[in-house]
Amino acid sequence: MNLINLVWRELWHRKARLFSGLMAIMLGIAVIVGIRSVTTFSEKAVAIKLDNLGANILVLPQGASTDDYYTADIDAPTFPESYVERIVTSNLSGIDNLSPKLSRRVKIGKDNFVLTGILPANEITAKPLWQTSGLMGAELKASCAPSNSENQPSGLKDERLTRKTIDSLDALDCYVGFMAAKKLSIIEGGKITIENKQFNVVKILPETGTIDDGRIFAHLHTVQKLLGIENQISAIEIMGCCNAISNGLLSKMRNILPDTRITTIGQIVSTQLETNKMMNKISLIFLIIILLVGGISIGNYMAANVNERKKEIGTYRMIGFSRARIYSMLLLKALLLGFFGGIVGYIIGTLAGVILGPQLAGIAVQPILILLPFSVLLAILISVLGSLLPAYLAAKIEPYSIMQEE
Amino acid sequence: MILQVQNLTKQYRHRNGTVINALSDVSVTIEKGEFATITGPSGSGKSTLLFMLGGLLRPSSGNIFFKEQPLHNAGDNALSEFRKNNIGYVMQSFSLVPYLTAEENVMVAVSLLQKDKNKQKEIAHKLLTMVGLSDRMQHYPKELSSGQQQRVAIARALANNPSIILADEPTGNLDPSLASEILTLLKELNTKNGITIIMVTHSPEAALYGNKKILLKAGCVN
Repeated sequence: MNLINLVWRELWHRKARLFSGLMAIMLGIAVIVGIRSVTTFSEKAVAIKLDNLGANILVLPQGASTDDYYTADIDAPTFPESYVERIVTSNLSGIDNLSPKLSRRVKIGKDNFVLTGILPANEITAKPLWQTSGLMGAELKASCAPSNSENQPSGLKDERLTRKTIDSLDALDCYVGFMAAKKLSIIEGGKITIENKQFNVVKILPETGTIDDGRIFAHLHTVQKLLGIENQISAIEIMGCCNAISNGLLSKMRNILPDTRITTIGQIVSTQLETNKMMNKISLIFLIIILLVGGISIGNYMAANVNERKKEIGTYRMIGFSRARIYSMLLLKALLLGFFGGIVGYIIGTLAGVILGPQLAGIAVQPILILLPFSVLLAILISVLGSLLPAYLAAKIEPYSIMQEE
Repeated sequence: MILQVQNLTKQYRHRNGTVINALSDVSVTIEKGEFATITGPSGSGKSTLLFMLGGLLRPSSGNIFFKEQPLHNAGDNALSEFRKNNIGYVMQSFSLVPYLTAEENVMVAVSLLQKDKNKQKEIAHKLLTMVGLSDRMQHYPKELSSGQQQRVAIARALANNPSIILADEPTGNLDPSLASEILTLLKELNTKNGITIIMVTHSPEAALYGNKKILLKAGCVN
């Protein structure tokens, strides 16, 4: 017989009470695991949706208007192109793509169009809607979005994984937006004259329903020369990880580029990220409540158990158990309760997340294995902390006083 | 001399502040191999004396020596060690652990000195066979008669090969024929195995099994 045998036999002997003792821990852990599972998959869903949206941060000169995120760069004041380098060398995490551009209104024939200078590889990356139009090149590897294997079971289609970038755009090549092409009545392979310079139309872009439909895109450096504003740009579009944005990416960027205005697609990002933040806060609140309630509950159970076992503990002391051995025996029991409570709590919480996640949050939830050791450790912590005082009091039981009571 | 008690006093303070003298200036010597009985009326301090002899209770004043080693000022760990190595207890209410079988009840005591589970089993079998329970080893206490439970308690008391068995009214819950069996068993352990026995009893018949009598009255040796 060793201590584990003894503890195990005692637990089994009082099965009904064991179950009630486990309930508080099991349910507590189940609630935390359930919320955490749903929150994690909700965050992933938000990450994928935001990444599918494309660029979500816009760096503009200080004087630019930001009334409309999508037109803010047109005719805006300029700032040095070297700012791109400043961001790149800052080692800020959560920036997946930088797309500098220079936009100006130009007259072609009788109509006004927006000529936008871009760096092609970067621009295509930032424009998921273009990527169905055969603009092919190297695959983009993003830094923080969930992997393909994580996305597929969630039922989320990550368009970005199918995105390609093109590597080059010749100096005199251009892409023409869908509406602009219609107005100019040009086709792919045709020619177009802008500010006395002839460009080859290499691609008519698909209709996106955005301001881009009316734009003409040429190489940034060509546009800079054409407009006489070399080494200057009017905006940098950035694909930022949603989590990084929520963790203060914008303010970090403002520190690097103090004389710029940095904005994001506020409503989309903030609403979705606030929801995730709220869920995280709820998890934390539950965690604190469960630590308290679980600890008190298990402490109460252990105190009742010690009271019930006074005679037995007195007997153990009588035959030579030291106080430390009694203390260890009860803490071992708390550890076992925590261990099994954590496992069962994890299973219940995961099942609840998997079953209720699609119905309540509209997202598919998969078991998160990493939560299992976390659940077990947390349950053990609650159980052991809650049992410290009852175990201490049990170890202080004087065998003589118990024998006298008989 | 295996146990020596000098001027032992035990006082309790009641909630209302009154000091109660459970034992007053008791001096007793127990020789190795003796079967001592402690008798006296209820409240005379018999059990108090027994528990102090067994290291379960500390005296208010006075000295207790076990094989010339002082017990009266020993710490809790030292007393636990002393009980584990030298003392076997047999209580009126048997004090068996309800969720352990007869074999396991004995094994728990053996396990304090012997870590090998097979050897623990072997010793428990030997002891239970010695007390006539070879066919009841896998029974739980509630499945055993009072006499059988007391036999398990005696087997457990022998688990550490004790120098002394302290018995507190070991036949108090048994009918006369079972009481006689238990007393005979204790006597045999005393005469055949040379174990010193100190037994508290109310019963004059039980007291006849001893070869040394300590009579207590109002906390004093009479």
